[in-house]
Amino acid sequence: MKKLLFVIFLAFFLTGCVSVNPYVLSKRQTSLDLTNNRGVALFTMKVDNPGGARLLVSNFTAREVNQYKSYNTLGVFSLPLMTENYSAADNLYFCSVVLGSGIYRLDSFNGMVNSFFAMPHTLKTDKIFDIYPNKINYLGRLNFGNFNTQSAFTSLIRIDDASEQDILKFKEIFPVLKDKQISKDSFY
Amino acid sequence: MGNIIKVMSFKIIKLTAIVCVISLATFPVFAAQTNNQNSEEVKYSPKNLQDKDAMQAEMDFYAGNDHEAELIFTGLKAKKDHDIALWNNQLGSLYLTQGKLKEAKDVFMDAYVLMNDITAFKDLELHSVGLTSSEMTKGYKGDPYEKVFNSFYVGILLYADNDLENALAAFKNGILCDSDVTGKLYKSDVALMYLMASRVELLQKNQSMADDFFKQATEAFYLSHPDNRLLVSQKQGLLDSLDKKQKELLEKETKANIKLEKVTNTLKAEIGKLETDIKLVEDNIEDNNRKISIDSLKDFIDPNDNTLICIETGRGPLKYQTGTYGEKAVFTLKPYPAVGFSITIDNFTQIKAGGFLRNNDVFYQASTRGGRIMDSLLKGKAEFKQTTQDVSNVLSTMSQIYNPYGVFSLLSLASGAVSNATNPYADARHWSLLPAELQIISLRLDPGTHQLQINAYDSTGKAIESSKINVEITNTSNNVIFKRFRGVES
Repeated sequence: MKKLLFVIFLAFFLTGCVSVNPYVLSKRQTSLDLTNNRGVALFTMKVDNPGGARLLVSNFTAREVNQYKSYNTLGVFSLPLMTENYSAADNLYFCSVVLGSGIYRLDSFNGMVNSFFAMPHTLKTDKIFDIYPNKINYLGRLNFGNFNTQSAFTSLIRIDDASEQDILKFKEIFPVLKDKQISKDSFY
Repeated sequence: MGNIIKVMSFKIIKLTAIVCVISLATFPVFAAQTNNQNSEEVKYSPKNLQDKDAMQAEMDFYAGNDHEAELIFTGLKAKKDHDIALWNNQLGSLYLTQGKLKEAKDVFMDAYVLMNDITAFKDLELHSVGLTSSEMTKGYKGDPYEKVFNSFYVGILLYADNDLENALAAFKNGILCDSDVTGKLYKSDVALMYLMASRVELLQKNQSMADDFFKQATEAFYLSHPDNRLLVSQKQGLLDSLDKKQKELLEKETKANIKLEKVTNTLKAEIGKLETDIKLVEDNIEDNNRKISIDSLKDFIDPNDNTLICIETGRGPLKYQTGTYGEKAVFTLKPYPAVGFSITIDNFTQIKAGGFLRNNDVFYQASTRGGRIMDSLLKGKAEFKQTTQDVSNVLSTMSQIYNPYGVFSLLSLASGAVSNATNPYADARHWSLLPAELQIISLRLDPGTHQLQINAYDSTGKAIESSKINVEITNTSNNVIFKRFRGVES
């Protein structure tokens, strides 16, 4: 009996019953599969850093918000930011995420300050956003201010609609978006 | 030894062969099943649907894919589980959006019965009170604001069916549900319910009752008007502080201790200050009330009108869990840009924003209903989880130092298990297909078919959404038309 159950489990595994995890767009990506109710969220992020202190943002965290699931089963996703996500000319991070349709909370951006004794630093966001099936949405530009290397956190100051500039730049950085329709939505 | 290896190798080869054969044999079965699943019947059958699929339905609704949303919510409703009232409410909002008033009435009424029945799901509710059980296991009956809007929809759809007695009962039930809140000032502030009750009483020729409901509607309208909301909140805060201080004073005075005289004098001075502040806030509210026009309320109960046009906008409040253990439930709202509307009837008559009854704000109603007893109980659960986790950590450390395999380890494991079993998560279930706001206008239209063009405007007066609908006006005094602007994207 045990053997039979084991064999059935293996058979399921071999026939490809696996889930798709969230992921970020990459520069070299040539196709974008939005089947199975997946959608894309695009947003930019800027840190007001007048002192020019060194800040390396490495990832951002998105949490699933789903009233129909138990809290302890909700997904928490850490999504990487790569060199192509940062535009030094604009001092902007161009962030993207491909997720299953639903409601999510952009929790924070995480990184390090100082180059020698690196200290963890968090840019607290705590904003909700939606992922609609088969849609690519631009959500806005997140502005963080009062950046202080002595503090462990930096707060979100405001969110701007910079869609005209940002969408063009997104299409430039990620060729996979070039011919795609990008709609506008918002964080809340 | 060689024999054992031989037997083991044979077993491995045998097992691998079985796996390959079963994989090949079952592949066509799975493939066929996948094809079958393309058919909607199988995919959305109650057997194949889980609660978590409702999120897809929710997003489908806000993306305009009503067909998929309907299939999922209908499938979930057919499961007849403890969330059936929630599925009915979600379906009701969907049907209203599609203009299916009869279907909407049926499902809202099903939900109404469960949401207002104290004995429904009693066993599940008793179970959820325990420290180790989840709030989500109890039957969904909705927050007071959800009960208010369910009663409103049931009432208005019965009113449209000319069932005035039952419509009035539903509106009165809504008024009663609205009084089930902690903050005294937020009790009974849904002007719409009183106005509908007044309108029904007028149709039933009960002038004195209609006047009474209209008076209460005016009070509720002032209380919940955006110009007064901050002041009302301020007054509520001051009243709470006054209540606390008065209780404290009473307690101290009963002790009649000379040493406490200084304390009681200080308390009396603080109470005096609070009373002065309350009077000041009340004067400001009175000033505002004099400036607020109630013409839209008077228009709403005009006995010559035969049609109510209900424009539902945006997306209702989102409730989600926060806190270290997800023990707090908070509300947020997705902003919707439309603030005003115009209606053009048969390309000729245009009605502009002034005549609409506004400020029927679902988020305001949801967010002023806080402080339920259940919240503090959930806080208790979170504290219990924290305590058991702390105990588990301490015992674990002690066992590592003093007694690696002994009694501390066992106690630590037991305490850890209790901590894991403790379920402090707040119940975040909510009626997410509710609109953010309802704007209603009362009109007189000639019987027959009419074309209505409804335009939505943002705060700068720019038209952002437009919709044309054909409506059939019957020769009665209670025609009701619903139009939903969901505003998914610009």
